[in-house]
Amino acid sequence: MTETSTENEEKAPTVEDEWMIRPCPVYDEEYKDCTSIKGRFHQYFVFGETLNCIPWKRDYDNCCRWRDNKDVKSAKEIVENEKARRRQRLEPHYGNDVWTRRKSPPENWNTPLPEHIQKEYEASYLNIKAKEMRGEIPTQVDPSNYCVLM
Amino acid sequence: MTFIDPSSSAEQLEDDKLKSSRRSSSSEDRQWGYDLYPQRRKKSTETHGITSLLDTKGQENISKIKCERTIYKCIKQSPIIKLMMGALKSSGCPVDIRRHISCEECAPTVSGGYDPILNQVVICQNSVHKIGHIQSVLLHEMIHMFDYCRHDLNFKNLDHLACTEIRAANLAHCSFLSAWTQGDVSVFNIKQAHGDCVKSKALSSILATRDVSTTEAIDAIERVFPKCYSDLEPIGRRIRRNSDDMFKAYTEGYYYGYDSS
Repeated sequence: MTETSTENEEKAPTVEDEWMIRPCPVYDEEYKDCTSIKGRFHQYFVFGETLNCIPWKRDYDNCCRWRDNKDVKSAKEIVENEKARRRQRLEPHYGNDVWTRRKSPPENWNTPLPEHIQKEYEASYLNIKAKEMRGEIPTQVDPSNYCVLM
Repeated sequence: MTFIDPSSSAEQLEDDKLKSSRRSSSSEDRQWGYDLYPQRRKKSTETHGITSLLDTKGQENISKIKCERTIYKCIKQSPIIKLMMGALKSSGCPVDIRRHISCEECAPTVSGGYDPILNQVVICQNSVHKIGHIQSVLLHEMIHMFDYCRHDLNFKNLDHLACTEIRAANLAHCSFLSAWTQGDVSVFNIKQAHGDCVKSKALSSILATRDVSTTEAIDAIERVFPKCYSDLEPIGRRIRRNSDDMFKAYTEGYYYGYDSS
């Protein structure tokens, strides 16, 4: 689960929760957006203050080191930062006790629609596209650029 | 914006919508926002007179096809809609574009809604035409769907309704410019004005579809605001207009299990 032993040099070093490390340009983009004028204005508008963008910069530098040099320490730092971000994003969601979580999806999710509505939908555009998406019929030509004579 | 049937017993789910609308009184309809969507209540009875030539009656079928075509484009191309579809699918509620989305003529005051009884998103073909607008309405209603799928959302409970409207306004609306036009920000009042914009948007959404007093609605919003304002799932960020936020949110969704493949 952690670094491999140095005796086997063919094995690449791995880090726990390596999947959390995103492609390096993502961190660069986030940092640039965070420090941009529009980004700063939006932060002020939402939070009343500007946010700390340094974690994104650190993650970008660490990501480059991990990608180019397989620097395990850098990778672990990124994973720590990502875990903190996940916690920050998911805590309010699970802590929202205005409502309780369901144990299973709603029963009426796929109940059939009333007869007259189903009949209306038979020849409709979305019905054809839905069948195409399910693979029931081959892709149809969509004459969307043709003129319509009223 | 949501609307519900006033008598939501188990039999209603099987009954034709036609019968259920006759049972409810018109004042109840108004309370639950039912009469904003006339086509859902009964089969359309077409009466054409000379005035229908002067109105734009008769274009409904073309409008419907155009609306459905734009919706299909959104589903296929818009990153934020794809994210929502993926999130719903991963939550156990896959979206079937024919079963769960519908284009209809509605009252001119609304641009869309969500019917939790039939479980359908309604897009008003007479109010929204541009793809950006349809994307925005679809996103708003899909957030309601997401809340309905994952939680025991009871649309008759004002707190639940306030919470889901706050989340939709928070995630999908209230850019600085829309807050400016709504009057929630001014040059002297920008700091943290986003929250005020969300509150007033949620308030107008609630008042548009429920016959409650403004003070009741405001109380409900204030009660649930702290928790619901910080709940950003499944998008994970407040979308900023004219930015890449939608694409970033879509790629980030993969790391949270929202995969639409």
